[in-house]
Amino acid sequence: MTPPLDTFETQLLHELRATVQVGRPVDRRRRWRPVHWPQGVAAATVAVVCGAVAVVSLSTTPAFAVDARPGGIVEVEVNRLEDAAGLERALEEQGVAADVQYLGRQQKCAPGRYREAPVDLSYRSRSVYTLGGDGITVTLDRRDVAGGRTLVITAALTRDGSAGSIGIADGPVGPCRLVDDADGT
Amino acid sequence: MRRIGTDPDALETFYREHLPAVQRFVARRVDDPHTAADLVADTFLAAIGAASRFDPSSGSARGWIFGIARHTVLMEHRQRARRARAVDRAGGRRELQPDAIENATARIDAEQEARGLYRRLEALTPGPRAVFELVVLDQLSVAEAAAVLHIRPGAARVRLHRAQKALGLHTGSTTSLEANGRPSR
Repeated sequence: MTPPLDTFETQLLHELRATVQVGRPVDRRRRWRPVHWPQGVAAATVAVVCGAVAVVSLSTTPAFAVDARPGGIVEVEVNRLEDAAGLERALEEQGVAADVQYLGRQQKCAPGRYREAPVDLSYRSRSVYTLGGDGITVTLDRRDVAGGRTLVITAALTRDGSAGSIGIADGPVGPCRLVDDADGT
Repeated sequence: MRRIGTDPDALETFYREHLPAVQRFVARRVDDPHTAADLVADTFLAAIGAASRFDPSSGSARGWIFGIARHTVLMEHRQRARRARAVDRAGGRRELQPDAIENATARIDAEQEARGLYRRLEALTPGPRAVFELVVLDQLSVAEAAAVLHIRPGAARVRLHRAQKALGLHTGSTTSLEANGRPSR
């Protein structure tokens, strides 16, 4: 009999299962880092560095894409840190309240903007968030943002690319009070 | 085994079976709970991506996942400085709940002597070091280590002997190896 899993082990298992279920090809170039797992930990916002998110683009690739998938999944893909308001609108059209902030260099939001949504153990969420060299992707289980919750995406430029954080807010999201990121450029 | 890339239930079975060994494998090389959590996650994600290429005739599942974990840890060591600066700048790392930190810390503490030995291996050339790591540190058989490293068992034995000699250990004596830093388990 295997021992019970702790919160990290449970969180990771759910994320791995979701990866297989969604059928998304695994891209090892992308630094895998689960930013938020609503079924797992309460402290669900983690900042992540994206080494090569394109911030200056000469391509015609859309800055973002939002797609509804079967099974109550909303897929979000951010290719460039542009048009945050447009991404919010696109998510709203899918019934997802969102707060998206793209910041400039040497900037970040002061902590305490919102209260992290508590863990709901009544279901197994399929949400998986990924940030990496190819940008930001969010596989969002709609149940995680039910009841007036808000998806909060914040990304900022850094010396090496960009850094971002993703979380689920329970209640209002306060304005982003910009503070200096002393180590950024 | 190959189904772990497409079947969530097969993945979960594999995960539960090999998670403890992978966590100990990482704890023998890394002393930070958050980094260890990332490496364990990366290892299983890589396993999902590589599952279709698994060849049961080339070795055991444990050897296979150890090979993936070893590569993941090596990549971590090579990128550590750059990414550490970046993550610090981003202002956050993987959040772990107290229970997960406690478990990870216990594993890391238990492998303290092993990490000491692991650091001593830096003096070795890559070939003998790789065999010594897998056989002495990770308790794989010479044949399993050879499969992980894609070399013949005879070559693995030669490299193991060279490593033991370079470290001043008595060849073929498990007792002497343990007395020199590898805790028995």
